[in-house]
Amino acid sequence: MNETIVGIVGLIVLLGLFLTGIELAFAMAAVGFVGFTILNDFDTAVSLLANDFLDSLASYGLTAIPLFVLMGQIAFNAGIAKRLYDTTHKFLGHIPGGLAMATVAGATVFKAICGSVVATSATFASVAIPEMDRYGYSRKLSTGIVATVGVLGVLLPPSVTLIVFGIVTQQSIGRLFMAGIFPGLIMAFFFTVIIFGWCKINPSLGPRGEQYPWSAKVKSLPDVIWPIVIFILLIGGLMYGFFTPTEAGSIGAFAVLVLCMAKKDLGFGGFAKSIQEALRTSCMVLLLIASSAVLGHFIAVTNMPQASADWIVGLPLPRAVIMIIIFLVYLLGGSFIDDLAFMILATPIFFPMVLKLGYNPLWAGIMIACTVCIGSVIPPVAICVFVVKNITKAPMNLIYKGVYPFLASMIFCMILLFIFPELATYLPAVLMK
Amino acid sequence: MGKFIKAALRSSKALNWLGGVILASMMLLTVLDVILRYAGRAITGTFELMSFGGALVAGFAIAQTSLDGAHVNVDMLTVALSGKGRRVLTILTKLIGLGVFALLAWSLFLKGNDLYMTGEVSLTLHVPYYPVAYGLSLSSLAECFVLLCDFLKAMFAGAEHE
Repeated sequence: MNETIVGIVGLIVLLGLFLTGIELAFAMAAVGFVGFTILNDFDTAVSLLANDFLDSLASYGLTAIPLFVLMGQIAFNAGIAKRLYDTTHKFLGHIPGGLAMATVAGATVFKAICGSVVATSATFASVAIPEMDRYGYSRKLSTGIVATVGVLGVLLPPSVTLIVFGIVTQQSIGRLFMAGIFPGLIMAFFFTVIIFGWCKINPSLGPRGEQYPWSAKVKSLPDVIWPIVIFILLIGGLMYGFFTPTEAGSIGAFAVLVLCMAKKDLGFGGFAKSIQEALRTSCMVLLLIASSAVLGHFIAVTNMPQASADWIVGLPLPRAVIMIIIFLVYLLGGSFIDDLAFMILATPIFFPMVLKLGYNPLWAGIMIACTVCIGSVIPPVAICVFVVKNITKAPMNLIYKGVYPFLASMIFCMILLFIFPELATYLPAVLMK
Repeated sequence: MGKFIKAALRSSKALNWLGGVILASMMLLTVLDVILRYAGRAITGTFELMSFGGALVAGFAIAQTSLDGAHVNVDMLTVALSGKGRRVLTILTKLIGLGVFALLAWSLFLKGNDLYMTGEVSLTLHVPYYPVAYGLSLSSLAECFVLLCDFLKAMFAGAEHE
């Protein structure tokens, strides 16, 4: 049978299997194995299965994932977000919509030590929403911003999405981290502008909070400073080549652990819980990567990535339109499958096209991360919205009413990034020559 | 079947804890290595130990992650199905998973044997590779155990409910 036809049939079977509710990693490994057996032989496929799992899981680069996830889980279980929110609250709470702005500021700083989108949304749903309720904020605004603010975790380092993208495409994780900083901060800025504008138009959405004296504000600052110090240490170390991403993850996790234990925010039980949660999340991601290696070898034998890249480049369409189509595929795919899983699945197929079209791989990584951001809040698989709904018990349609303005700003940010790729490529070019 | 399920739970938990200990050790080892490196006494072979540890961390957590239902799947279609339809799909998916992990356990065991026979070791510390392959094979076997429990539950317990 023609190799390309086997490849196409394999992908159709894979999509069919996804609909059965099977674990995506299991389906990818199964299709990869069977496809490779058809195109080669059973013994070679058995050997491929073992080699791909062993080589993928025993890869030094991948060890960064459990360590960064551990850092985030320690920060999450130690309740650091509450202290951060208390500080930003003291500085911004007295202006209209200030508590929602404090949520954005607190989540941005929290993101410096926690790479998880879900953990950020979950934390701020428990910390910020009750506070906003207390000051009479509209649930539309409070649930909307909390459901959206977690997506900053996809762009701002240390982002698990960017680590995975770097591993799958063999791009420098340090450079990807640098590339995500401006877009992440721009998105945070847009969120703040929207809150300000929305509350100006309708002041009942976010009434003024309490005004704190400067002494209270200054006294709360150390809680914000040390996560920033750890962040600067990690990113600076990566940037200047003092440590590898794995070392950065280890040092970050250790520094957060020592600080939390010193402040008595975390005991042994909390640490053990963080380890268990880190194991669960990283195992899920690592198994997807190992399975995608098996599937990727099958797809590579079919010659589909190269053939489709040649076909796409040969289309009588401007390259910008082709890129938009690629991003729409990510958005659509990520809407039905988990966004990170879809990125792992689709990137080996689409990345050669991006390179062939002559686009900067770092920029492409950040644009794909933006589609993951959008995918995290749009149905049907809107993980951040589900988290907020479960914690607050607010109706889905109310949360979505609050999400739409922020979603629009994410799309606007992506358009800006599309027109001005330098927003992503400038920092790595200047700081990591 | 109760004993079988209990054994699956226990083995998954034990492996998961072992994975946790390895993860914490990896963190400490790297921190120590970075500190000592700047004191001119880097720990030799950290790179290799981290790679081996990373493989075992991921492998040892597979079964517990399955038990916790934390592997990503798409349940849009299955939630819309009737009890019987859902049971049929569960049986099918657990069988496929069982097939994948049985193959993995077997192929990694063969790989371990191969690495043992050829005496392949790491470059710096000369640590043999085969224990990692055997460790991953064992993890796959534990996952088979979990998937078999799920399969049996869907076959028999599910049938009782209908």
